[in-house]
Amino acid sequence: MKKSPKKFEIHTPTKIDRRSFLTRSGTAGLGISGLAATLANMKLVSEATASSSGMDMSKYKALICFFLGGGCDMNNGLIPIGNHPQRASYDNDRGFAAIPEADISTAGTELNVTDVNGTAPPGGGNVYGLHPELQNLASRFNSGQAAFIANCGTLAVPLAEGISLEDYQAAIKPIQLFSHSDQVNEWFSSIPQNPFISGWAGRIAQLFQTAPYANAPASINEHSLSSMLMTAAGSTDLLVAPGGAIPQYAVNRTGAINFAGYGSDYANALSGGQYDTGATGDRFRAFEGTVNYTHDHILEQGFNGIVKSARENEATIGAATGVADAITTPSANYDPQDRQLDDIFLTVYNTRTSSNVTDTTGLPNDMEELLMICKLIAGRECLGNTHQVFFFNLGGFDNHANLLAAQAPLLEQVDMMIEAFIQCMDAIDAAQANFDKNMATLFEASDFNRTWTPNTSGTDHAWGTHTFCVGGAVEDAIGAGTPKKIHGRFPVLEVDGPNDVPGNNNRGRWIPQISTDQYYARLASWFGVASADMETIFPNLANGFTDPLTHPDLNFLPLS
Amino acid sequence: MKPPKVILIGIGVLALAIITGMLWRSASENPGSTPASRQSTAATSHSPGDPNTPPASKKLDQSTSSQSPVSVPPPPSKPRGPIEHTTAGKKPYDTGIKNDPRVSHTNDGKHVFNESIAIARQLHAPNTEPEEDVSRLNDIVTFYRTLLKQNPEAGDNQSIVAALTGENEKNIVVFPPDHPALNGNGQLLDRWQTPYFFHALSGNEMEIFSAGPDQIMGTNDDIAFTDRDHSDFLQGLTEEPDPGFDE
Repeated sequence: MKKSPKKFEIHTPTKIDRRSFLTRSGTAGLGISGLAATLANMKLVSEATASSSGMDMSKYKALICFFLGGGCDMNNGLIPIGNHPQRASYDNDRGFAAIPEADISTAGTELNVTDVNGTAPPGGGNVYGLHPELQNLASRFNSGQAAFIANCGTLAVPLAEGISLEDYQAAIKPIQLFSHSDQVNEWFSSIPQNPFISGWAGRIAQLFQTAPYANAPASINEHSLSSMLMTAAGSTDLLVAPGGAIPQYAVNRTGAINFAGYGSDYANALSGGQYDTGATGDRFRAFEGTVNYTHDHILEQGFNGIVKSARENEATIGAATGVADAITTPSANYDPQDRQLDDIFLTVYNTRTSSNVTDTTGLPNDMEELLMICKLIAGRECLGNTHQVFFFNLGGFDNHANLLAAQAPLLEQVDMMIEAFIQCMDAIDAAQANFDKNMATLFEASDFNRTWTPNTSGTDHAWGTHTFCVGGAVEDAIGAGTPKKIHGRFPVLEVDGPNDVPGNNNRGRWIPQISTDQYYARLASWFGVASADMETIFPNLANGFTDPLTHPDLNFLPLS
Repeated sequence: MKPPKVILIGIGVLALAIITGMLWRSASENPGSTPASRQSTAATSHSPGDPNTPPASKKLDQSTSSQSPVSVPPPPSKPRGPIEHTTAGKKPYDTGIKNDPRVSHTNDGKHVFNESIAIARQLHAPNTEPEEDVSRLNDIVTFYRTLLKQNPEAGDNQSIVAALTGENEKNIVVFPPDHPALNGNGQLLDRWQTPYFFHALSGNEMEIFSAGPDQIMGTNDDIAFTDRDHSDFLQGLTEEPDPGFDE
C-alpha cells in the first residue's frame, strides 16, 4: 500500500513559547505529540491562548449535565411535610419507603417554599422538605441558589392533568415508557416518540459549529481548540451530534486519557521533552511516526485523524488542568501543592463523611469526575471554547430493592458533589477576573421517577420526576431573599389522582406537566440558542407546549 | 477394492435422513425455546413443583445485598431449540397469520398463538424447576417481542400480563387469560404467590424475577432471568455509559 511519509519532528517543548503553542494547537495534525507530558509552565500556555487567539471569553458559558442513572426516586427527594395535604397519603401509600418527618427535621432539610404551582403552598408554612441527605442542597435552595423543577419528563405532546383513559390511549406518547435505555435515550434526544438519532446537546453543538453562529449576539466557539462536547463518564447519547458530525471528547478522573502502555503521562516513553532512549521510548516514537503518515485509504487516514485528535486534546486538557491547579488555596488543608479546587472537594467530602482523605484519588470516582469538569472550566481558555457542554453521571438509582438503604448514600454523594461544585465556581470567580460564577449551570436529569407506591422493598419505574438546577445564573434568576418557588407543576400525590397515569393498575406514575423540551429550552436559551432556533433543537415544542421562555413556572434561569 | 459408487451414495442419503430425523424430533419436542445466551439464576435450588419448599439460603441483609447468587446451570429437562424454530421465529405474523393453522382466532378478534400458549401451560408444572418458570416466561415475552417488534410497553406486572393476554395493538394472545397463576387483579404470580417482576431494561430486553421462597425481592433466593450479574440489580445499577477506556 502506498504510504507517503511525512516529516515528523520530535519536539523539544521544555519551554513552549506563545507562538509555538498557538501554532500547534490551531493546526491539526502537525505534531502536537509530546506536549501533554512536557508542559512545564502551564501559566505560560494559558496566557498564550488567552491573549492572542482572539477568543472573547467574557461570554463563556458551561452547561453541565449531572445524570442520575437508573431512575432516581425523587418522590423521596422532594417530600411533602407538615400540613401538606398529601403528607398523610405519603405515609400511607409509601409505607416502609416513606421518609419520616422527624428525619427531615433533624437534618434541617425543610424548604422555605412560598410559591408552588403559581400560588402559596397548600397548607401554608413549610410544607416541603428534601431527603435528609440533601442538606447542602436544601440550604442552597433556601438561599436562592438552587431551583427545583417539579414533574418534568419525556413528552411528545402535552397531556393535561386529569386526562381520560381514552384520550391518554389515543395520544402520542414516548416510546417504551418505563424502560431504562429507551427513557435515557429520550431524555437525551428529547424527541421521545422517535428512535434515537441525536442528543439535544449535540444538536446545539452542530448549530454553533457554523461560526459565527448567525443568531447569537457574540461569536461562539470561533476559535475552538477542542470539542465543545466533553464527557467525564464515557460516551453519552446526550452529546451525539446529528450524523456524528462533532465528536465528543472523553476525559477521565485524572484528565486526558493517555494511550496505554507508555506509563502515566507517557513517563516511560518521554523524558525531558524527548523520546526516551529505551525500548518504550522507541516504541512511542514509532507509534507517533506511524500516525504521522498519510494514507490513501480513507479508513486508515480517518483512524490516524482520530489518534492525532486525541493526542492534541491531551495537550489542551493537560494545559487546562494545569491552569486549574494553579489556583492556590488561601489556607492549605490537604494538598501540599495548594490546589484550591482539590481542597474544596476534599474538605466537603471529609467534613460530611468524617473522613481524612488527603488526596483526591481517595475521593469516590464520580466526585473526581466532577472535580475534573470544574478544572476544565477553570482552564477554559486552553480549550478555546466560549460555550462548552459537560456530562457526568452517578449510577445506582434503580432501587427496586432496598430503597431506603441504597438511596441514602447515593443522595449524600449527590449533595456533596453539588456543594463542591458551587464552592469551586465561587473559587474560580474569585481567582480569575474574566470568570463569573453565573457562567456555569449544572442541571440534573434521570431516567424517570419511580412509583409512588412501593413493591416489597423498593420502588419501580415511573415517569414524571423532579429535577434541580444550580449555579450563579440560577441565583441571578431567583435572587436571594425573594420568595422561593418550586418551579414546574408539582403533582397531586394521589394514586389514581389527576396526575397518575390512567388505567387499572395505578401506582402513582406522574404524567409530566413539564416536558424535557421545556426544561431544556430554558437551559438552551441561557446557553445562547436563539428563540428562532429553539424548535430546530426541540421540534416537539411546536406540538402545543406553553412557550418555555415565557412560562411563568420556568423562570429558573435568565434568558440569553 | 473400492465399494461401488451407488453404495456410497446410498449410505450418504441414509445418513442424511437419520440426521434430519434427529433434528426434527429435537425441534418438535421443544416448541418453546430459550436463547442460549441467557440463563436463569438463583441462589438455591428449589424442589421441583413444591411451592412450599422453604428457603435454603439466608436472606441478604442490607450490608451484604451486593452478593450475587450462584448461577445455576440450565435445568436438567429436555433440550430446547432456538426460538427461530418456532412459528413466531419462522414466519412473521404479518406474512402468514391469517390462515396459519398454528394460530387460533377467537370471536372477539384475538389471535391466539398456540405454541406460546402451550409453553405457558407448562408454567409451574409439577415436574419442572422454578428456574424453568422465568425461562418459560422469557420465551413467552420473546414470542410477543417477535410478533410485535418490541416488549410490552408497560411498567408493572398487570399491564404486561394484559398485553400478553391480548391487550395489544395486534390483538395477539401469547399467554392464556385463564391461567391458574393469574390472580384476581390480573397479576401473574410465582410458585410462592408473589407477583413476578418484569424489569424493562430496554424495548427488546426484559429481565424477569421471582422473589423466591421468602417472597421478598432483593434477597439472594430471588430467581432471575437476566444477562447480568444479579448483584447489579441488587445494587440498583443499570447499564452504565461505556467508558471507552481503561482507567
